[in-house]
Amino acid sequence: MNVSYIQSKYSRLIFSVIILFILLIIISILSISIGSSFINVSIAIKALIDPSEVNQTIKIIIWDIRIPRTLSGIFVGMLMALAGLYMQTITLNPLADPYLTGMASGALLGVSIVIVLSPIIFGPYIITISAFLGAITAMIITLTIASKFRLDPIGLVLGGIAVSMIFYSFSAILQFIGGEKMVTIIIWSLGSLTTASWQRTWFVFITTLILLPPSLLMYKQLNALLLGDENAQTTGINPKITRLISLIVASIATAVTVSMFGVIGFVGLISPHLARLTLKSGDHLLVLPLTCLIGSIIILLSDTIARIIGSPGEFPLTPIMSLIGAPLLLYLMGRRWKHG
Amino acid sequence: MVKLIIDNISVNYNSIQALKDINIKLEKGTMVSIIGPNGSGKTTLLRSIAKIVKPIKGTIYIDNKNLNNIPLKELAHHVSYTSPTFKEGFDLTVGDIVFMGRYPKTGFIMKHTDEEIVNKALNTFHIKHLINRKIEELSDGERQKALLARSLAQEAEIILVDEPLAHLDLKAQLEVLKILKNEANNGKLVIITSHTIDLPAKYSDIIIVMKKGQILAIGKPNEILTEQIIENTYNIKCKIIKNYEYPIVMLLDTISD
Repeated sequence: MNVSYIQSKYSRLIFSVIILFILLIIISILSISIGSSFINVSIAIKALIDPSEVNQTIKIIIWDIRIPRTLSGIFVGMLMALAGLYMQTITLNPLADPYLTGMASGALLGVSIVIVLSPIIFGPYIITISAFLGAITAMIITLTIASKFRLDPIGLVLGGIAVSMIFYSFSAILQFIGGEKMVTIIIWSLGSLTTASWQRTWFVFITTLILLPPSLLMYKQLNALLLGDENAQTTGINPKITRLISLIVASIATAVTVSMFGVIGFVGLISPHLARLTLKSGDHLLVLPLTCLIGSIIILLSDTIARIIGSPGEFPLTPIMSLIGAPLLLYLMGRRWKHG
Repeated sequence: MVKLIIDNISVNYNSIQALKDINIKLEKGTMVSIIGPNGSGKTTLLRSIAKIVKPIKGTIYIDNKNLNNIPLKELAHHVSYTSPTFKEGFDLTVGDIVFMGRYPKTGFIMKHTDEEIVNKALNTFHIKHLINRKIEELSDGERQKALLARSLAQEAEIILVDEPLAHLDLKAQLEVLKILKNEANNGKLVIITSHTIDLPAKYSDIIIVMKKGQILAIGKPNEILTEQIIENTYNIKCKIIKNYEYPIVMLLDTISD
């Protein structure tokens, strides 16, 4: 029992990060190889290291289609997992997800308006922009409602549910009016990395780069929230400000993702649970980096599966993830109750 | 040397008056218990000292410094507050929780000295062996001890604890009070709230009796705990046995309002 608690904790973190990182690289290479045309793993690796060695078609498939898609998946996974962790911590609800503040329904309404009401076909970026605006609008309304309840966990959940209901209703009406355009909206609402491009990859990469390091610096504040606002405050932390910053970070992560790749659900809900389970600790210093890595792995795996079983086309992302993830979530929750 | 001065404060929750014209002076090295029925303002008084609620009038001074002018981060060096709430489902370990006591004093990464202080706090409560256990797996008593160990690890001079005896079995109640009393003997100012009277009467230097947001009595247990004051405060009949080192309160019956 002479092993230092801190040392064993930090080494547990480093060990898990290394293992998961290796796993992520293996899955990335697989995900680059697999698709409507299967590329031999060794050729894929060769194309990654020295593109001039392989033929032009393979080079284009890998560098212009597969790599941006894989990288997008990695960063989207990180962003959604991070947003999920934030929402669970600030609402003190282990079943919260990134869309709790009504952002999914807000984005959906944004997309519905563009698709249904516009007689002309807009470019994909118009959908992205309106989804972003919808998500942010929903979030701001939820925040305004929640601040009436002094920005506490109950206020956030109440506000989020009310806003979600209202925005979904509007979307439903629009889709009813829209008739056959409904299909486009439904496909978008199931999430997919099909739209990945280098441009979008850069966008999610930069978002991750801006949001992730400050989040890690905030780990003490996040930990303290778990003891309730009163206990948190006497460790010198302002719970309201922490909650507000967390909410803004989670919102940006979600809004960016949802506007580019549709409503990617589930990963935000389950990644933090898997991270806590792996680490046997709730300390955000450990949980946060692991949650992000697990998020990336889940998205890449699901996307790869979606491409294999949907071949020659592809399946949407969220249903695949939920199909695999829901039994897993049940199992995790069941374990917790048994221990309870 | 005066440590804590509560100068004529009143606190309102919406339109309900929770505290009315409270005046208290307390010195360090004192163990203080606030007793009184539900809704008497015990917890509100603790929260005011921890700057969790803001009085509508009056001022609180800690070491002659106005509480309003002390930022939260600095206040954490002087005052710790523990309420027995916690949320299940986040896998916090005893270690995670007790290390939180070090947050006001450390940077991004915990140091070896922090671990020494945390270990000392854990040993004080005899829960060192639980350091890697999740709090949701612990008994109420062990959980309460973990939260209190966090408070000790914070090394604040004023230790506030809301209902430290709630949900504890008899042995754990004695253990917890002995540890808190020991902190007071080492120069801290310890203030707790309690629904029971007997143990606070045994361990406290000062008892504050509250009812309807006001102080009915304040002083040494032997001097202020009379049958009359208990009857007035709780609407119960009791007998107090005084020929012992501390007053023993025997509850007899309720008095109809």
